Amino acid sequence: MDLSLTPGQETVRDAARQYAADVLAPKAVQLDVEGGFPLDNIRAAAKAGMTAINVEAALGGRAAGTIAYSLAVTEMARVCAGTTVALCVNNMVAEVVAHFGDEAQRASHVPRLADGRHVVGAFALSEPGAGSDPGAMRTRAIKTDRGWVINGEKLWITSGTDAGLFIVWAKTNDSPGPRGISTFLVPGDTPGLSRGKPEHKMGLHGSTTTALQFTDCEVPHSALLGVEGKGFGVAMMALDGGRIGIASQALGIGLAAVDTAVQWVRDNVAAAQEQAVLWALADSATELDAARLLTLRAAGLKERGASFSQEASHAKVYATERAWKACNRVLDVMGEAGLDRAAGVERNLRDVRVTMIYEGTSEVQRIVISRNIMRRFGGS
Amino acid sequence: MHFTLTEDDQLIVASVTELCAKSMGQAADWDDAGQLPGSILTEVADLGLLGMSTPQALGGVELSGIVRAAVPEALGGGDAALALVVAGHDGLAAAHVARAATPAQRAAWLGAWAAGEPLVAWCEPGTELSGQMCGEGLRVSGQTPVTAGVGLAGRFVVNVPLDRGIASALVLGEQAGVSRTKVDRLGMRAAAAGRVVFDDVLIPLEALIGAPGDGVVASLMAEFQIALGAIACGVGRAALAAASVYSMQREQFGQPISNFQAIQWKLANAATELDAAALLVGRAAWMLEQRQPFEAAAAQAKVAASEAAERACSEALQIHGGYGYTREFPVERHLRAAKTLSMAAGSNRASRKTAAAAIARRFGGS
Ligand SMILES: Cc1cc2nc3c(=O)[nH]c(=O)nc-3n(C[C@H](O)[C@H](O)[C@H](O)COP(=O)(O)OP(=O)(O)OC[C@H]3O[C@@H](n4cnc5c(N)ncnc54)[C@H](O)[C@@H]3O)c2cc1C
Repeated sequence: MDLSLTPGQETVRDAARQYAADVLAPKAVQLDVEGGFPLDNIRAAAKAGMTAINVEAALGGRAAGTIAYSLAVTEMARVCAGTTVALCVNNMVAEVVAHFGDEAQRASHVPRLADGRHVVGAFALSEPGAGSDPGAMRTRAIKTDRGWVINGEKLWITSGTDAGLFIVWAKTNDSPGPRGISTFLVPGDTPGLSRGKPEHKMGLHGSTTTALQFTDCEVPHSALLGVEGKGFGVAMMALDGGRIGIASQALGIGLAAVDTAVQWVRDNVAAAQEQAVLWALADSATELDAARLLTLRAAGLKERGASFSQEASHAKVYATERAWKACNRVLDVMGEAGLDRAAGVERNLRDVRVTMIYEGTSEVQRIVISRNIMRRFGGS
Repeated sequence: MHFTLTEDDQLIVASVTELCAKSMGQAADWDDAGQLPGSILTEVADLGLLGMSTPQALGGVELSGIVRAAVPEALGGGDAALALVVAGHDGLAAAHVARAATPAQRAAWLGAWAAGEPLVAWCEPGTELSGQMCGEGLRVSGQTPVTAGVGLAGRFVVNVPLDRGIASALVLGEQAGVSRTKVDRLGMRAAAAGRVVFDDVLIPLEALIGAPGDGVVASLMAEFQIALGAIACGVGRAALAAASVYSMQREQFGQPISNFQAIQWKLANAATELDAAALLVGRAAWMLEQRQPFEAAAAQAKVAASEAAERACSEALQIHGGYGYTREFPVERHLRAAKTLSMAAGSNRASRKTAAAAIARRFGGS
């Protein structure tokens, strides 16, 4: 087992680190306090090559692979988790269009997702009554001579305020549950699509999350992505990949908290003598390292074209829960000093909490994992 | 050991619960604003909650026993920031004066304080404050530790470490050389925590409370652990209740999520841990009332309760899914409060040191 990075992977990681230090770091605290869509950060990300890391070069991507993508996400999340999740979704949307799109869709959308002309892409699956169970969605698309007419509501859509392109899932026939769902590419300026106000969240203030309303929103036949009625599979495949991104994001946030704690302990002679303090850091470092390995394993499998769904779930549930634990331990160590917004770790704690929820809750990951092990070892 | 409240005490707790139900729907807005409104402080004063440590003769309601833990728990279930500010005003500042001040000081201050006029914040002794006694009084420079209520209070009780013990004094917010800073904290933001800063301030003799080395500060801080534990229980139980109700209403996969064992066990575990913590809090309050050494029990109760609350709130947020991460539901506020409570009064690290020292004394034979 060779765990070393290729020079190409190191280059992407270093570029992400540079982008994070130059662009994200100076504004991270202000963005948390003021909130809002980080347009400047997103524009700069396109220039830094962070918008389509695992997308073929012919479509404007960086073609650096999933491992490089994971490394980049971790470096960016270490500095600004909010901007990073918008970029994760953009990367995911670009990959999905590149993978499932026909030539016209690929050519018209992927380069724009890579260079920022679409501003950023968004992924519109969840609804008020359909989160863990997207099969219960009520948004419908009806086929007409001219195309499709979409009606319904989506909720919690990352970058919903500013995205130039939405991937939207809707029911296209009456089959129950996940069957009969199709996928559409909906440009942000399509009449009949309106965006709600940003949610007021515990953290992740550098990312906007909004509802979307579709009222007789008409798109042409060419907006259908992939095969009619097979949209659920598109969503599940996208989320498998997305989970590697969220695991990488959580890892970055956890590492940021530990970085701050190490610095704080260095400056606090008394704390540096306490085993309770030092061992909290030791345990966090151990667990985050294990999280990193699980995440890179899933990324490596995806990059090689092997199946990686179960491994992505392992990575996501473990990395997010251990990163949450690490942030908690760091606060316990720093005490009052850690509670102060200026110190950064309370932001890490608020930001990391959502990683256990979006792109499949921890419970959903455990469902996926247990189903897989029962299948694999159950003899059927 | 018995934890049953008297009928009178039950009425008091019921009135607090009622106040929470009636007046704390806005707690999320207070959290956003970083400030409790004056109206809610008037309401808690009207219930007598700012005078629980104050003798009846001086206008207080003078409560003792386990109701002193039941009230902060009930209040914490409504808004932990409010509960913390009340505990600082009543359980620390007023209690300090009631125990250590001269009859003249008690008569001058306590009646007004029981009405919340003004609100008083009590600042722990810290290493960044230095003082010197002189003929006219106590000269103080430096700053207090971060203290709840500093941004709301008109008076402060400050505790200044001197060579021969801790000197305590009442300081007017408007006195020259006294200023305050605000700290933007993770949770209980409405408590308007901050530091009081002294630029070579002379505190007159008549403002000094008790005598350095009288030990009152240490016992107040030990008792305060019980209040913090009680508030944490209230926070955790409020989150548990919210999650339990939500889980019966929210449907996924064609059924209420309360049908899923994963959800049931989160609730069962949280309830178990919170019940255990509440019993530890009750035991510490009872031992205090019985005048037994209670310091270790109080520290244990605070650690157990704040950590149980933190886990319960995190699971409650998880049960709410994406909704739980928004400020529209109370659980994220409860979670931030629980975490902040475990940092309070020197953090759970300090409480664990207290408990460990007590165990060593108990089994060390000395
Ligand atoms: C900040 C943020 C950004 C988001 N961005 C996007 C986005 O860009 N696009 C998008 O489509 N969505 C997005 N989401 C939505 C997110 O994916 C959902 O919140 C998530 O899938 C959970 O769904 P839910 O909130 O409806 O919770 P629910 O599904 O209602 O779950 C509630 C609780 O029940 C549990 N549960 C559910 N089913 C089971 C079961 N069978 N067994 C055991 N437990 C179960 C859950 O794990 C959870 O603990 C975002 C959410 C947030 C908070």
